[in-house]
Amino acid sequence: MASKQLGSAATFLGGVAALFLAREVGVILALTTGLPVPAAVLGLLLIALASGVSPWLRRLLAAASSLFVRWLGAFIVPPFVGLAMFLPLLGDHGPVVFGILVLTTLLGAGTTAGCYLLFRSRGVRA
Amino acid sequence: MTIVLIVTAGTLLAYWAALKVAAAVPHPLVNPVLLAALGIWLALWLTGMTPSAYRAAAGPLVLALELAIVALGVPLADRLKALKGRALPAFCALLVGTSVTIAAGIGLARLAGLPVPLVEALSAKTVSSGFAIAIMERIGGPAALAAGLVVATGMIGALTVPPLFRRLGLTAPDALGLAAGQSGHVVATDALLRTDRASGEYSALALIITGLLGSVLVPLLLGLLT
Repeated sequence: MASKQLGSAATFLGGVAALFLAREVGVILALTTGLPVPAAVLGLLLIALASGVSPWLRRLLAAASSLFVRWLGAFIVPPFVGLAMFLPLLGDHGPVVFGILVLTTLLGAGTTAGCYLLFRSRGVRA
Repeated sequence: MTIVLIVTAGTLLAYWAALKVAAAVPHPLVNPVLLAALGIWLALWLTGMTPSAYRAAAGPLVLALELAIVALGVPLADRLKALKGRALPAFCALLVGTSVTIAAGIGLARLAGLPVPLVEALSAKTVSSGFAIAIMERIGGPAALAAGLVVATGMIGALTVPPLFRRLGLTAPDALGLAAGQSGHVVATDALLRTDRASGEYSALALIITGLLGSVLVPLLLGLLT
């Protein structure tokens, strides 16, 4: 029982280490290539590629990935709290911003669904 | 060190409590991030701590946000496998949809004469909060403002897109899910997963791919259109 728990903890820590490593490689890639893409997004791509081809890595990442994704909302709270500093700006332009949000949200949804149905009906295949 | 521990634990506790409330009142307007932030704002007001001091003390959570974005690679790989032959049409549709949304956001904001921080934040509201924050920090834009607009967009998307599509007869789970995930991010995905699991799975995939595409398109289109 104890050795099983120890194994689970080791797998979890291994998964966290793999996420750290992917993030650091993302930082190096962003710095060396000068891409405007955030380092974490480059790390995401690396993890997606690696876990897609390696079932061992996929198993190693399962617990750590699940925990981080489940708590993603909590990690957004600190940057979100800074919104208080922009309340006067939003107060001045609130109705215009709200109108743009509604319009672009519906435009994006309509365009995505329309294009998907069109591409699917034309038989575009991976 | 003590303040870092207090702020980190307090934020996690506030979010956990907000999750409980959101689970008890399942509605797009009852957003856990917004509820937790309201709790933190109240705590800051009571203690006299400034938002920037709070943000500095919440360093471990900011690092965890980056790791959480990296961790999205696992569900992305899993869901892409499940998509099989529909991966390319889905990717192309999300590419067009995301490009149009970002360009329209920037264009309309410029047309309305909005200040630069709002133009930048409106360009990033097309992607989920985690991605929007990472993009804004990469280009030096207002991360908090973008995160706020993303949550508002998610609420609008969750409240309008699924009912509108159903009224128009667009009930195919793949089309509805991709559109909801692209436009309503986590809020719409969460709402769909509770009511329509098949559409919700597509929505979850769409929000990750939209985040990836937005990471390239937001800096590119901001550079071209401003």
